[in-house]
Amino acid sequence: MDLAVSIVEERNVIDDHLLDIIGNEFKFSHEKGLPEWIKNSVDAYIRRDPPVADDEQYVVFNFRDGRKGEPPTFDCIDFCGMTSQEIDKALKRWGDPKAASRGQNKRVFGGHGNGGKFYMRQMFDRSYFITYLRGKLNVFGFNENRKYGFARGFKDKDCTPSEAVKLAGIRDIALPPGMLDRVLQGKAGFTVVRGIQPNKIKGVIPVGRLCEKVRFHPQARKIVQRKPIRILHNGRALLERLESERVELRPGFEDMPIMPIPPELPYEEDSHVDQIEFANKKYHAGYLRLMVSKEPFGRNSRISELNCIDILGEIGVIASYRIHELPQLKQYAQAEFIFGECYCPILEDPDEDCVKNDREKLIDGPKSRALLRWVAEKVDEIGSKIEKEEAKERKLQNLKLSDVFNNILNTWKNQFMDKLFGEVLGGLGIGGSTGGLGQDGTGGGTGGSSDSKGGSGGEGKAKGGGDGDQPKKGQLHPVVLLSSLNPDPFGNGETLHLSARHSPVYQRPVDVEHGVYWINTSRPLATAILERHGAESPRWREYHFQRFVDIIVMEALHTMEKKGMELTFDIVENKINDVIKSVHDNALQNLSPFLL
Amino acid sequence: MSPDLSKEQKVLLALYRLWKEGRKKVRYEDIVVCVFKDYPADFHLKGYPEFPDTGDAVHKPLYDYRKRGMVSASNKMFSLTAHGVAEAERLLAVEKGRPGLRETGHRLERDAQIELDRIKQLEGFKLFMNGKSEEIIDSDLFEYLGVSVRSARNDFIGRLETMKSTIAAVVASGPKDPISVAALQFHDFLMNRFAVEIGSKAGRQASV
Repeated sequence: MDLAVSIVEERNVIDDHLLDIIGNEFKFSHEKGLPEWIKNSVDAYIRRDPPVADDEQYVVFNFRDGRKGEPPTFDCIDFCGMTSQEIDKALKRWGDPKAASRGQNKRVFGGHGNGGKFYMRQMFDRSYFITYLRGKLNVFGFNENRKYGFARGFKDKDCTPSEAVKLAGIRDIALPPGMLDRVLQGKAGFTVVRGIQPNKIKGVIPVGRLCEKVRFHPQARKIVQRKPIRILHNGRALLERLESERVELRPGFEDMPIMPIPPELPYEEDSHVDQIEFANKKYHAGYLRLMVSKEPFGRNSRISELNCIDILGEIGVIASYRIHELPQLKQYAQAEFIFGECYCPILEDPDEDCVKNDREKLIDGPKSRALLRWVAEKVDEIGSKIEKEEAKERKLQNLKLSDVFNNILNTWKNQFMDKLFGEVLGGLGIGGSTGGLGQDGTGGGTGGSSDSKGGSGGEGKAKGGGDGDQPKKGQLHPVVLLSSLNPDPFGNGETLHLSARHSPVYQRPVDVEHGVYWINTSRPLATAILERHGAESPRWREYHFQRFVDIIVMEALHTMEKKGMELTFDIVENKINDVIKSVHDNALQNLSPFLL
Repeated sequence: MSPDLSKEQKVLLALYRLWKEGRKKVRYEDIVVCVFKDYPADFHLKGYPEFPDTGDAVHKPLYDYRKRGMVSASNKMFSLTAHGVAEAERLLAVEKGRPGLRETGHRLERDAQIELDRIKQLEGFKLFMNGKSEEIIDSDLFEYLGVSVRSARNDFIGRLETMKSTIAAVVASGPKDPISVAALQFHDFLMNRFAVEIGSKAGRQASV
C-alpha cells in the first residue's frame, strides 16, 4: 500500500569533490582550455550594449615565461570588465547554462558555464580574474586548494583606471592600439584571466605551438576567423592577429550547394527503423555545408585537424568529428579532401540535449547517430564525385601518353596501307580509299600503288588530300583520333566525348566524308585497361593497336565494296584474314619496340 | 498481263521474278532483258520493237524503288529488300486479278512484322522502354534504320522510308500490345531527337 507523502524540497548539498570528478572528465589540455577563455571573452563583448563590432572585439593573450622565482603565466585579456554582482550571479555558479548569457536574450558561445572555470581550476596552480569596470576592481579566483573566492581587499575596490591597469600588469604590454587609452579614459573596462604555473609547462612557454593548436581547435577556429586575437609573448607582440588556416578549395568544387537536413532522418537499430525528428515548430531544419580541399589533409599533417565536420548549434561549435570518425563511411581516400560544418539547432533542444559539457562530441544516442550517419552519406556522395573527377584526370593523363603512340600508329599505317591494299585486294592500287567514298565514285584506279609516303594513289575519281592538320575531303589516308583527347577537327577545338555505348571505333557522317576515325576511349574495356594498367602498359598498346587493325580491315572492306568486288562470305573471310596477316607481319617488323 | 500495273511496277515484278529464281543480286542487264520479255510493248527501244530499252525506262524505276526502301543497289547489281518482296507479291496478286491492297486493322504484313520484331530486339529500344532515353546515341538511329554511317544517301533514304512505312502499317493495324505502341513512340523519339542528323544524311530537311 502506497504511503501518501509530500517531499519538502531542499537545496542540493554538493561536495567540492564532485568538481574534481567533472573536471577530470574534461581531460584538459591547454589547447582545449584556451579556446574556453576566448569564448568567455567573446561572450563578454556579445553581452555589451551597445554592441561591439567584430573587428573591435579584441582578445589578447600574453604568455609570460617562467623566470627565477616567477612561474610562467597565461593571461587572457578582453576590454569589457565585470562587476562583483556578475561574479556572484554568474561566474560563481557551476553548470548554469544561462551563466554565459547572464539572462540576456543573446546567443553566446558559452554553453554549460563550466569550461573556462574548470580550465582555471584544473590546469593551473592558481588562477584568478582581475576585472575592472566603472571604477571598481574585483579579483576573484582559485587558490592552491582549488577553492574559489574574492581576493582579500579586492572586492569592489575603488580604483582609478591607471591604478587598475598597473595592478593588473597590463600597462606596459603591447595591447591593441588605442585600447589602453580607452581604459585609461574610462571608456572601457577590462578583464584579465590569469593562470599561474600552468600544468606541464616550466620556464619557456611554447607559444608558437600553442597558438598553432588553438587556431585549429574546433572550439576556436570559427572565432579566430572573425575576431582579432592578439598574441603577446612576455608582453611583446608575437602575432598582431591570430589567423585561421585558409584552405584552398579544389577546382570544380568551389561552389558546393548547401544540403538541407531532412525534417526526419531514419535511425536503424536491431533491424527496427525509427524516424528521428530534425525540425519542429521550435527548431527549424539545419543544413550541411561540405567543402573540398585542393590537397588532401592527410592523417598526421599540421592541418589534418581541419579534415572534420563541425557541428554547429545556435552559435558556435557544439561538437566536431574528424571525417574518419563518421560512421559507416565508404569513401575513405576521397574523404581526406572533405571538410565542412553541419548546423543543427535541434541538437540543443533542452528536452533532448545532445550537447556534451566539453563540446567535443555529441552525446551518443539515436539522434546524434542518425545525423552522423546522414552526414557520412553526404560525405560519401561528394567522395564519389571526387573519385570520378580523379578517374577523369588519370584518364586524361593516360590519354596524353597514348597520343604519342597514336601518332606513331598513324604514321605506320599510312606508310604501308596502300601497298597492303594493292597486294591483298587483287593488285589494285587504291586511289585514296576515303576520297573515293567521299565522291560516291568507284575509288581505286588501275595503276599500281604509290611507293611514296602519302603518294598519289590510283586513278579513281577521288581527289587527293591536302596538307595540314585539318582533314580534307578525299584525303589519302584515314586519320585516327582519340576521343576525349584530340580536338574535334569539325568542332570548336573541343575534343569529342563519346559514351560507353558508342562503338570502339566510331565515325559520324562528317568523319566518313573526311576520312576520320575515333577510337572511343570511353568504352568499358578501354577505361578498365587504362585505369588498371596505364597508358604505357603493353595491354593498352595492344588494345590501341587492335583498334587500328579494326580500322584497316574496315577500310579494306569498303574498298572492296567500292570496287564492285563480289562480297560473298568466303571472299570476305579470306580477304579479312589476308589483311590481318599482312598487318600483323608489318607490325612485327615495324612496331615491335612498342608492342613487345 | 494486266494493264493495271504501271511500267515502274512492272520493273519491280521483273526483278522479283529473277529474285524468285534464287538470285540474291541481279545484274541490271538481266532485269532489262526480263522486263522486255515479260512486257515487250512497254519496254522496247523506241522505233525498234524487237530490241529492249536499256535506258531510263528501267533504270529510273529501280532507283526510285531504292529510295523507297524496296530495292538495294550496288555497282549496278540489284536486290529486293523484304519490303520490296512484299510489294512485289502484292503487285503479282493484282496482276493475277486478285485484290492486292494492303488491308488495315488486321495483322501486319510479313515485312512490317519482321521490322517490328527487329525493333524490339534493339538495345536502343530496350533503353527507351526502361526510361533511359538519355542514353540513346546516334548509333542507335543507324541501327534502327538498319544502315551504317557509311550507307549511301539513297540507301539511307530508302531505309528511312521503309521504317516510316512499317510504322504506318503498325498504326493501321491498331496495335494493342504495349511493346508495339512503345515502338511507335520510339520511332517518333528517334525522328525528333536526330532530326538534324537525318536531314544531313538524307541531304535534305528531314520530314519526320
